[in-house]
Amino acid sequence: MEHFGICAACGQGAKRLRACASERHFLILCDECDAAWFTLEDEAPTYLKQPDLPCPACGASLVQPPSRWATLDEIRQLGWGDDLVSKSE
Amino acid sequence: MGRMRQAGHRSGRARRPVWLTLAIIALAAGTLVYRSGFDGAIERADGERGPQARNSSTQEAEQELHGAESETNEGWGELTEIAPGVFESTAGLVYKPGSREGHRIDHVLRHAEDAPERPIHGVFDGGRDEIFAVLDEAWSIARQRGPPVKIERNGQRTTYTIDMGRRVGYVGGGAGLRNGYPAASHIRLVLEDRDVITAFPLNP
Ligand SMILES: [Zn+2]
Ligand SMILES: [Zn+2]
Repeated sequence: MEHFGICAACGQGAKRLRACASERHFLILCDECDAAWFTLEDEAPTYLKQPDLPCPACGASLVQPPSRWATLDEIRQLGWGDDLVSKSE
Repeated sequence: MGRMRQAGHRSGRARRPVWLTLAIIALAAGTLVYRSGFDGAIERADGERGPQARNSSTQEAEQELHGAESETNEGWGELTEIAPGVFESTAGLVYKPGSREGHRIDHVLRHAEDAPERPIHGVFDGGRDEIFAVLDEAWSIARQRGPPVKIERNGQRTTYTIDMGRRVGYVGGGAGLRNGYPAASHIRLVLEDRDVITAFPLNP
């Protein structure tokens, strides 16, 4: 499971890269509490509207299909591969 | 497939007048009360898939209303469908559709068992009924805002960390594996208003 560390908001979830349902945008999302971050440098999370978690860029859901966790290749293409705390090849 | 369970009969309740019982029956008509089966599969009594539910007998509905008025732990963790797909617990926690699991009930129930692939993953003791009961107990403590509760607010989101004063689960996931699966005595409850976002046991 690829992730960027433990979510500081809930102390439990993994911060993972999520593709919105339009598959055009990626956001960092806690897989436990849905806290969201635009960049890894952001410390304060954003909380998107429940239950659909609309993408701030296009409004497509970050929960409903075809939204999904980003692949390792996508994370690397975005230049965040070195920031991963854990990755499974 | 979900294992349907009947709500247990309770003893020691005072008798109430027939007219009051009839009024409660009328109020409860059409209300779904359910106790959950354990394995996460969800099947409504009407055959639809969805957050688990079954049609209650009138007596069970009456018990549900009785329990909601009470601050005792009788009936804690029972979930009543108050709107399509929206379930309220005895203590007033609300579980709605949402999360990648499709419903907050299922999101919380990920913590019914370990998830070794996650970096840290609190696991509740007991089965499904015990989990929703201990969450109601935690919420009841949290509402009293006493010393065993730490509260953090961020906009409409509130995170409660409640010291339950006893083991309520263990720390699993990768951290649990590395540390011998230590017992967890706290519950973290993440809410928006009374809507449960997530809840799990931990050692803060
Ligand atoms: Zn989180
Ligand atoms: Zn988008």
